[in-house]
Amino acid sequence: MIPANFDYESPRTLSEALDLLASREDAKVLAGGHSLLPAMKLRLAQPAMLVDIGRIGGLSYIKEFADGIAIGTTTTHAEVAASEALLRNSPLLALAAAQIGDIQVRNRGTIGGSLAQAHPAADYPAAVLALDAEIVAHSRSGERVIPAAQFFTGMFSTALRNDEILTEVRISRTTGEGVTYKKFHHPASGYAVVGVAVRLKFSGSNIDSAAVGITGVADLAYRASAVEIALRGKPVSAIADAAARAANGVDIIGDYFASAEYRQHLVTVMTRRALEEAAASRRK
Amino acid sequence: MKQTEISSERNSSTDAQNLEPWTNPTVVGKPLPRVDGYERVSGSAIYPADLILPDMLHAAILRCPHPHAIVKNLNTEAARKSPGVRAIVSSADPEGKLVIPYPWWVPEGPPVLLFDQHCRYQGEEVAALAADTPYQAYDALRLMKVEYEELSHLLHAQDALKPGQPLLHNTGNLVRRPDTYQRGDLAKGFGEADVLVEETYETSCEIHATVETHVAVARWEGEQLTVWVPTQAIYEEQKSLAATLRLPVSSVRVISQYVGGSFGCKAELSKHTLIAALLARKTRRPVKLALSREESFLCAGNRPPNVMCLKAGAKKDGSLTALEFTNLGAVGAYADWADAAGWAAGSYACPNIRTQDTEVYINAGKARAFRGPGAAQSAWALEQMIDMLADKIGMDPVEFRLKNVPATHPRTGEPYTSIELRECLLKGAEAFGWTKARVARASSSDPVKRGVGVASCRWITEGGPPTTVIVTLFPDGSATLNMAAADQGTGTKTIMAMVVAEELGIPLQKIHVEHADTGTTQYGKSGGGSHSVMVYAPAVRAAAADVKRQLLEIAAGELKRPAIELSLKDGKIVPVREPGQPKNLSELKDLTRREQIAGIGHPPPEPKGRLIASFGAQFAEVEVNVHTGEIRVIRLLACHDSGRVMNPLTHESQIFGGMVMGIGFALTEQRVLDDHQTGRMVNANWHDYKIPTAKDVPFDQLCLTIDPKDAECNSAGAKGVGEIGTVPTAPAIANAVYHATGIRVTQAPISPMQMLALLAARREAR
Amino acid sequence: MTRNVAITVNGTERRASVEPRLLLVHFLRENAGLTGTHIGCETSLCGACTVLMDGRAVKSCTVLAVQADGRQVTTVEGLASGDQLHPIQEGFWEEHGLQCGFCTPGMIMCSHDLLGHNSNPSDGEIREALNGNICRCTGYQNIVAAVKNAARKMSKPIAARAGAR
Repeated sequence: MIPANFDYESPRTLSEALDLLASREDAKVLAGGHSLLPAMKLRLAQPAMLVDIGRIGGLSYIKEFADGIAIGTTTTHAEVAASEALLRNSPLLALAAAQIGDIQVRNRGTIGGSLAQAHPAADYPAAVLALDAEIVAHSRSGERVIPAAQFFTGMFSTALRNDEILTEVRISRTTGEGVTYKKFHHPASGYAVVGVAVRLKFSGSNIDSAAVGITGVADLAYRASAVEIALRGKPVSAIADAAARAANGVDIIGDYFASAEYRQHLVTVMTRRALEEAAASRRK
Repeated sequence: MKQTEISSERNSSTDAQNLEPWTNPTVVGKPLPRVDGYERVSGSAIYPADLILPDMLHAAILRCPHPHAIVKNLNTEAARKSPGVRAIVSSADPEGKLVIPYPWWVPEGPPVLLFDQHCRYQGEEVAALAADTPYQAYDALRLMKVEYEELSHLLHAQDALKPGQPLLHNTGNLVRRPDTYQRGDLAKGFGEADVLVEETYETSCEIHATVETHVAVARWEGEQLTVWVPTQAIYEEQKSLAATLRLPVSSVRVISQYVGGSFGCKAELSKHTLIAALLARKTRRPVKLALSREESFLCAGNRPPNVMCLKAGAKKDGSLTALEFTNLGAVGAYADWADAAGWAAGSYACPNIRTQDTEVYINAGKARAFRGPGAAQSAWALEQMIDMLADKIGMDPVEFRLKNVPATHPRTGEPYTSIELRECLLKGAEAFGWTKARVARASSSDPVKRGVGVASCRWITEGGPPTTVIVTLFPDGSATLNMAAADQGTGTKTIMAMVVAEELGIPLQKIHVEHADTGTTQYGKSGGGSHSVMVYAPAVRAAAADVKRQLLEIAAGELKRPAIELSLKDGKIVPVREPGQPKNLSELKDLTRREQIAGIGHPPPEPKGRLIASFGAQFAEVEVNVHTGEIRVIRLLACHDSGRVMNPLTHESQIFGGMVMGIGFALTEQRVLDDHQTGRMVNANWHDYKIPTAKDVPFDQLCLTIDPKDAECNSAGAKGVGEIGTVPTAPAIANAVYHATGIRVTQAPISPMQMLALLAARREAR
Repeated sequence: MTRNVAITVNGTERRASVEPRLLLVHFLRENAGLTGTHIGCETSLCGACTVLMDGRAVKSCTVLAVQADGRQVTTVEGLASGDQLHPIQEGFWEEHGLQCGFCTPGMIMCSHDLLGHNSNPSDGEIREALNGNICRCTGYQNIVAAVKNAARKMSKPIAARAGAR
């Protein structure tokens, strides 16, 4: 379990990092290393150069701004999970972060690293989809804002170009909404067998709109639009029926721990639980 | 004053090798922390993987990626030229044909070649190399080029004896002639039964998964080989290494002072140890070879999978009338044990029994003894079967078991030196609140169903010779205990130091334990089968008593009193009649002149016509979520008869650890082989293979004990506890799942997916 | 090919020229000779290799030595002051929170992180915090007791602790 050799650079500025990244075809960005290093040890990834962005000042932050909250790419899962700003104004990411791996992993793993890896069972993807987050990437030609809905393009693949560095995640406030993240943990790896991120907006006692992001079920995380449509303008009692549509039109993955059939069942149960919990959290 | 009386009573025992168990010990039986705790919490314990020797090389093994293949061609040239590489061994070398002996408990089997060109399991050793750094070794390994001819593979015991299946060995796929046992008249027994049940049970292959992987460090000095290896069995490894390398036994030294867990998987010579020795001999430099986690999953032992068909009958009053138990087990690619049925013949008083164990080869890593080997699998089937019978006649499962507790060993008719199974069941049930818990059930609308279950267990243990222990006492009142026993984490060092402290009346802190080194300790049996305390406590006590006898003789001469009027307390000689005038050992001129007293001890022979066994009952409470199939064990209670509890801390820890291992066996642990395509293990890592962690196990665990005051088993009165703790846990959980849901889950582990499918199938059936 | 690093381990700066791929756990064990940090899986799962980096628990099998350059690393060997064990180490010893001891250093370092921000954790919080550490021997009961024992000791002023000894 030893990675292949590589060149290593630890630039102090983003522009230096972008230059390095552009200089080599087979360079990769290293943040906390908790997504990339395991892949390199298995030699599933063998980059010729790692550009460590861990020493660039100003990439680790959680900032409030007029329209929402911005999270810097090297912010660790532990920092996201404990952020007062997030828990108060837009808790979904924090709730997801708290359920990633274990203390040690949360202390090192970063939001940017996890998103850029696009593991099909990672937790953040469900949350950023439900939040309609904006994912900010930088390259030498400047900044590009990628809507979360366009960010994940497949298993372990994203809209990021080779010369781009994911620098920030921007999310809106969810004040007044019912918000939660429910997860069926893989007992061993801790990844999501099913992870469901939910935002419910209410108008009176009816659900005005729902946003449901689901991870672990397919090659890539997705928005459960059938569930969202079924809940629009409906009372909370519509939840059970809506949840049954959580995997509509989705090619469900199966493995020996959870077959496609079992996952199909689980995603319904977990979506219902998440919707019920989100509805209850709003009423509080 | 009391102490004085006891001491004089002890002195009256003249034969140091044949002592009665202590009646009122002052050290033994106390919850004392480990004598080697400092090393283990400070990071200063040197496990074999931690050894750093001058000029040491690091080795790595090239392993066959296929479950069944022939090595057609092996090219090591590029690897040989890779930076830092110092030596390579493979089937091209004469050493490649070396044959690894089977351990003593596996009487025969097909020859195990070090590098066999016919690879019979994924991970089979193909070649190995040593380099200056572990990174260089790992890199060079990847430059070896192998051409394999893949053969069709055999993964399941059920297929092994069918025509047209691949044959693993020239002798076929049958390991040994099926072992059959019979007593009474089975047909008559079934005829007498008021109720009959029949069921097939399956257990999965479970991996030992010690946190320390297997590792060996080998160093040659001339023709003298020293090997540091974590093992329960230094002398077994020494003997096997000497035989394989054609060396005098005295030329091989095996050291195993720290073992990072074993549970049976570190008790025999492994190929990697021999490989380290060969590479060290080739390079004349020390070599370290540490297996990766994946390697340890594939080829360092496992609990073999079993398919068990049972039929049982009972009368309405709860007495068992007949039991038929047929087991088919898969040992892996080479000979070992995969038995289960035979164990059931000794469990309950049942007059008519037939058991049969059939063991076959499959293309997978070989089994090794794994905590309660055979007994744990057997209990999964039998203890559920007992519940089915109890259910069918409407009797409480505890009561049913009480009804069938045997008076003597049901198979041999021999009495036990002590048997408190009845007390274990009664005391455990009482403390658990069994009767009340059986009645209380969740309301039908709640998706979380609660249930409780019970299972009982028995483990035959044995002590006895040959083993030699030396205790040395110095004039300053300090002592050295010298013994072969390793301490794989069970606390053997602590317990044996406590025996010395008890016998010599000197504080634990003044006892140094020198152990598990064939170069400095005397022959001793390996620590396995819960035998350590049975073998070593009597031997250590005998050695200490020998020291004491000699010491009191010296003191008697100097103090001019008969030895019988002297006792040893707090490291001083105390005249029984004048306890106020103790004498320091350093004041004994003869002792100072002799520099030390050495006492030698052996375990006395086993009691004749008597069997020694530990017993226990465990109770589990579970919650089953019928929406997801998830099962949570929320409470475990154990009540065990292990004879004298030498140290409640270490005893309880054995039971807790055993029970948590049982949770894994019941709910999550399973070697998964790719049936459809490659035949390879798909979960040879901890991301996929689930070991329970702190969060997965009940907060509420309790271990109660029954001390039967067994005066016959040995001079310590202890019967051992290592194996038994895990045996009844899984069936107790399965029985609790049945109580919660009404569903009998026969296949371990009970994954959420399986549970949910069974719940769904029942809904459809209704 | 190699990089110079200066990593402060247990208060002592250690300089070395290392391959960028060298894992921190190997740096600690092979270069610094601190073998109390164990390797159990190398896949950031079992927690045996847990150390503190800038005060927080990390799995040193999934950190490159070059990433630790300029940082403070504490291993199990760095907890005691002289012969005086750290209260967490004492807790694991006194409560028998160990059997084979192989996972113990990792358990201790992870507990250190927990007690650093939660001085009086509940059973559930301890179990949650140690979820990334595998022990195959103890069944975890006494490990939880050990952390509670340490929490009690650490909440007392140092002078009172010394007096009690």
